[in-house]
Amino acid sequence: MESRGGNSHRRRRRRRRRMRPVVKLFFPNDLIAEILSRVPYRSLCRFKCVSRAWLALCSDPSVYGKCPQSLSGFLYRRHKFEHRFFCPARMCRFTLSFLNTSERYPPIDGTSPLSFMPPTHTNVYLVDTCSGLLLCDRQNEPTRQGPRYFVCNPATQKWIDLPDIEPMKRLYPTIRLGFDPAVSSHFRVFLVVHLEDEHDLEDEVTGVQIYSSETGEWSYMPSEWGFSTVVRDDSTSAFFNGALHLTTLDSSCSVVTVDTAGKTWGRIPTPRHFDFIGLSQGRLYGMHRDSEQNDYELSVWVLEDYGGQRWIRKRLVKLFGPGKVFYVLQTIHPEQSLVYFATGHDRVLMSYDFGNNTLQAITILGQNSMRVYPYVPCFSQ
Amino acid sequence: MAAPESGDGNNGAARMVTLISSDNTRFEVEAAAASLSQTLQLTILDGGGGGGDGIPLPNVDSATLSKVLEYCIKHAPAAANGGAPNATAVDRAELERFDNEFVNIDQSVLYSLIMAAHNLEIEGLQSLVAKKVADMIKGKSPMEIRRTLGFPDPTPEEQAEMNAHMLEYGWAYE
Repeated sequence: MESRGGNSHRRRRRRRRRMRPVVKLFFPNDLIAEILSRVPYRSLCRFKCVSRAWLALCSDPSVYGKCPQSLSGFLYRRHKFEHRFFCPARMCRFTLSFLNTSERYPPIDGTSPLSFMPPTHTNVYLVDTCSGLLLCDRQNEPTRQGPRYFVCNPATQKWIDLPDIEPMKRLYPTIRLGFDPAVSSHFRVFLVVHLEDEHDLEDEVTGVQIYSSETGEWSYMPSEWGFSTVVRDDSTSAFFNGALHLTTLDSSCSVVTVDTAGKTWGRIPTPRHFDFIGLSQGRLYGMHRDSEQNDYELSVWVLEDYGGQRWIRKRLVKLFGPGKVFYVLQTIHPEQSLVYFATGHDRVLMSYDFGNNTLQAITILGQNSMRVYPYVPCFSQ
Repeated sequence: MAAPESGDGNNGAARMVTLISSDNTRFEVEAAAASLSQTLQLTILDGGGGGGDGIPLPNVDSATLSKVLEYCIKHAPAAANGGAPNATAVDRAELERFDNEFVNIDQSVLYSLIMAAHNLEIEGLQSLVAKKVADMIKGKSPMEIRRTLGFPDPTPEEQAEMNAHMLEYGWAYE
């Protein structure tokens, strides 16, 4: 009796010495999952070796799929030919490059970010990105068989072909992605349908074809934007509040919206003709680059009150002081007050912080580079 | 005579319920506030917790319960509006400010709070505290997490597994 008591006493003391003087916490697994689904992906990967139980939790798609992600880098397309002006559009070859700007994610192959795709799906033209998904066009693949567009996710290495439909026959259809993993694991693709004509010159919108990854089908919705609404492939767009937002290129200064069901059509008047719209810090931003006479002065606006359609100007700035330095707006940082633009003959990618009014050069994209898209990985299945 | 089950606001006195913590402290709160807890909501809808009876909560001590109720009382009006489409930006900003202050507390209180929110099924409070805890742990190393949770030091084979993992996920460690 006595010796047994002594033994357990000694055992308890030994254990106490090995452990830190902290309260032992017993959290049920579903509670730990709740917490882990709120840490950044990078922390989650580190936590895989806390214990066997944590490894299982950190590897659970319902946990890592919900993790908040941040900007990992930029995707941009290049022409394979230096002389892009002598190259007929249908013959052009494109490659996709990736510029890593974050240490938080596993590195993506910079020269072939789509290396996980079959060879038939690598010579592609990047059309849009949204919350980690990429919408790509295979139009320029010389021996293309099968559908023109596909959507892929480099983080999960999954992809799906979109069924071809009639309005895609335009050379450059206006086609955009809509995806919000916080709301639904399904994405939408919006294809703007224009007034029919032989030469693809009509820009007036008659409706929108909406593809749902849930049903795998397109459905047509006639436009309620009004007769003279002009939206083209070079309209910039943002998917926000469950609706696609597109800049118009007609005389009205506005952004038009359509929801994922194609039921609610809206129009938000804008104070300028925005060259670029995008999402940052959960709000819609608009950028306007003034004419050469005004030294390409940049104004940055935020939609302060969504329902009240009230825009507030955050900045009005001559990026390079007085002088006519031309630049092309590229994109906006999803979490920080940064806009990106390319300038100069070699297309130097630069950022402008409209919070503290500072410029920074990032990299030289090269003469044959085209538009830059932000990439925020999404690990949701 | 039955008390109104939904606090419409038109009735002068809102229905009150009594909650009893594990250390036998009695808390009297409005039924609307206590109903933020999915667990309590059923009991309250059945008419429990009124008068001298009270609802015993053997898993929650009085310090934690008073903190939980502070949250519920603050959030009850917004929850009653069903997500509050008519809430003004000012109201929302005020709630946000309250939430930020609310979780600015000692680690141990935070842990008992999230357990209570989990047991009482108060979704808003649980996700608020989970977010805070996530922010606290996101920069930690696996060893620091083990210590916080009171796990014993790793055995040699566990240590070998951890080292292999560190090699594989080197980018996650900087």
